[in-house]
Amino acid sequence: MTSTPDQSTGAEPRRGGTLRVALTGEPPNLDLHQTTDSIVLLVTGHMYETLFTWDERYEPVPLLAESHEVSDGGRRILVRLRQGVPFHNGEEMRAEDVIASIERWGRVVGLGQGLMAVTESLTAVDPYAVEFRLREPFGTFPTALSRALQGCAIYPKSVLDRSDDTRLAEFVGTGPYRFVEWLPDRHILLERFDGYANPPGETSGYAGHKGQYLDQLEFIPVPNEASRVAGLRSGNYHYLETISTDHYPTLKDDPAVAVDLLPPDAWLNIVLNLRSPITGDLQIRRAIQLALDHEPIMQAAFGEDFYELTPTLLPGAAAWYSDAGADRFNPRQPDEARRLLESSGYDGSPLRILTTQEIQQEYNAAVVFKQQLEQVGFTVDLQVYDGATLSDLRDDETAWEAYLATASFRPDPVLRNLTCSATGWWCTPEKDELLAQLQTESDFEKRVEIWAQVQERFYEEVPRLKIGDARRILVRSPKLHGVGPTELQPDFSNAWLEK
Amino acid sequence: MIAYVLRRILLLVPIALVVGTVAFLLLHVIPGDPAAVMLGPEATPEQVAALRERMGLDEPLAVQYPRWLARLARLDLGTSIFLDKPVTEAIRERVGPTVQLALYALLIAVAVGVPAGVVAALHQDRLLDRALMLFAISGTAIADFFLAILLILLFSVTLRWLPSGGYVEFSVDPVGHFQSMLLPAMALGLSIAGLPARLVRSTLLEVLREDYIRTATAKGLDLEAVAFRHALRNALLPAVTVLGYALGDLLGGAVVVETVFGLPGMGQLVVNSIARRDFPVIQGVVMVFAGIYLLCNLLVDVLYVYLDPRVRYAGG
Repeated sequence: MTSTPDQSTGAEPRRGGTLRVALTGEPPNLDLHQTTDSIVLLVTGHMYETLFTWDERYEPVPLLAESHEVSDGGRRILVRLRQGVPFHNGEEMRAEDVIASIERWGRVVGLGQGLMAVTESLTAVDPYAVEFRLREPFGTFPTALSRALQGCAIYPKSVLDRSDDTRLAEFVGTGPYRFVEWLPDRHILLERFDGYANPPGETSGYAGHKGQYLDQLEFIPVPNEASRVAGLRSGNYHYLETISTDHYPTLKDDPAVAVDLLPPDAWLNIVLNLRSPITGDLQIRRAIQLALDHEPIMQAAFGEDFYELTPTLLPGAAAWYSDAGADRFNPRQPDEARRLLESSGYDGSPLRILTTQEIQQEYNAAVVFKQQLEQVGFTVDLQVYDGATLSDLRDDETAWEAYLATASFRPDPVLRNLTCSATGWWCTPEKDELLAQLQTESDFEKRVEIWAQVQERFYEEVPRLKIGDARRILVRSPKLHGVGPTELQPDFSNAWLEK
Repeated sequence: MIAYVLRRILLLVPIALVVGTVAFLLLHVIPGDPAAVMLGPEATPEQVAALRERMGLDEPLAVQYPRWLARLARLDLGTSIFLDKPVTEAIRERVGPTVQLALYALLIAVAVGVPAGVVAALHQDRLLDRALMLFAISGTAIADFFLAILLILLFSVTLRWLPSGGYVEFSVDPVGHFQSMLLPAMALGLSIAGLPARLVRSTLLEVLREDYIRTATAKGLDLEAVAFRHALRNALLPAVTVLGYALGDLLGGAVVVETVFGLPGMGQLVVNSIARRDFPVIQGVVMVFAGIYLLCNLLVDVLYVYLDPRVRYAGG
């Protein structure tokens, strides 16, 4: 067994122990295909694997796949699978499992539907190779099949045969930890999978060797934030899922806690409803854009040291950085906004902003957002709901003009849903054409150029307002080492606990 | 007496029906649906609509209500949308921690509240009385989640004596069980201990002014012996009945305390089910809570008749 010394301490990893992770709540299910809820990826990222995953530079590399070859002008893709990879139920992963999984994912997930829409046929060439015949090239093939929220986890066909598109009959994957039990509101318990087929290569990002030092991973729902923090300080938990940056000043000097301040990887987002009679008007959306001063909004939401103001729509993914449209980012021209609003024929109908106090930073930002709009002459109706009501109302195009959301990390723009069907309904043919090119083009430089054009349109057509990038804090026990990347949820496959 | 009890039991049926119907209608007019919660924050409206259809959530109220009633008549509370099991089973799994919590809290409330009331009464209007009553009123006034967090900070974070959360079953590890239940029971128990304390104090003061007490003290018995041997027994009657009614507070408090300490009880179940709009579970827990409440009230009323022969109900 190879072992990587921990960079922070230089100590040899210790094998054994149960890692106790305090979750913000209960996952809705343990089916990666099913939900965009990040808590599901946090737990199941250790149970299921995808054909590809991300290395430390966030480039897609093979995981369950061994390789993939593109031929026939991008219309034929052959994926070779690694041999001798067992599922937790003892079956070996084969082409039929991969096909059944991709087909289900292609019915349930938006990105999968996109791939299946251009797929003519998907067949097993031999037990360890599957072939896609495509109507048009799909340049982002490995990206689409990598680790993600609603990623294409590979499940055994035998399990899928007993499942349907909403429910998995059993939680079986090929990952380094296997499912033991789920007692709702008590814990989800995983244990080391001794039959795990370790992927070749050194550990890099989510890819390569997995140390599997921990015997068990225990995920405990602790919805109350004060209880999560107290539990970590008293040694009850080793890792906290999400914690407000408000705790940073008190926790950073506590010897019982290790706090890491992470670089920004998510952004605060005000989604506008392009089907509303008010915000459907580009001139009014521009007035909103001009009215805002992003600094106080971010301060209210995240606090002094926990944000940055950049125009990029993919913070955390340096390769995709662009300042296209930057001149329209944070313009702070309230007088111009007022003038534009007066000439727009805005009749003073209230602008309905939806938010929830369940996500305190979004609520705080909404309050400042409201004030800034009122200063330039908007009438604003701030509507505060619980999370479930908010996610229901958002889908109703007659119920709102704006809502606040946090856009989480995406390593590639095709994984950022800016399509016409996403809430807000930003539908312009030019933008949709650019998004389609992003999906089919495989040349990286060209894709970066196309993405910059999308970003330019984003600031010109104002379907949403990007306010700023948020930094997160990672709070753990000082005894926990070797936590992998955290952008797409933390990976504990190489983590270990000091005695 | 038997006729009275039977009549009261029959009356429970329409009351339960009204509670259930109001809860059913409320749940179905509030916005929010399980499919949207399940799919997470970045799902598209199309995905939500598709899942809603696959889960059969798009049926009209006129279809759902009669079906719910018919099931209820067979004591079938339906199937949980998230837990994928019958609601009755989900509730049965969670009854344990909640009942234990309520019981321990009640014990703590009585163990702290009754002596405090007695001592306060015996030191009426003196410093000790004032201090005890201030303590009693503070306990009632402080929100139980705040008290819970203060207890965690003291006993878990600073002293490290007790765990800050989690649940251990008695059959698995009795010591661990009491360790895990002590803080939650204290948080809940101390928040209602003021009730018996104040009640015992005031009724004891009343009883101590009765003639037979004066006779006893005149015979040379000291006041404390009289208080414990004669007066307390009579003063406890109202306290017992009020504690019965306080069960509502206990159940309501359990919802909050279970969330803070992560106890897998009915309170935690209902809070999470509300957040994810698991309608059958919310409905089921409301029915069970209402049932417990109604039965306890009935029990208290019957006890009253039994314990105090002066109380007579019409037809009783």
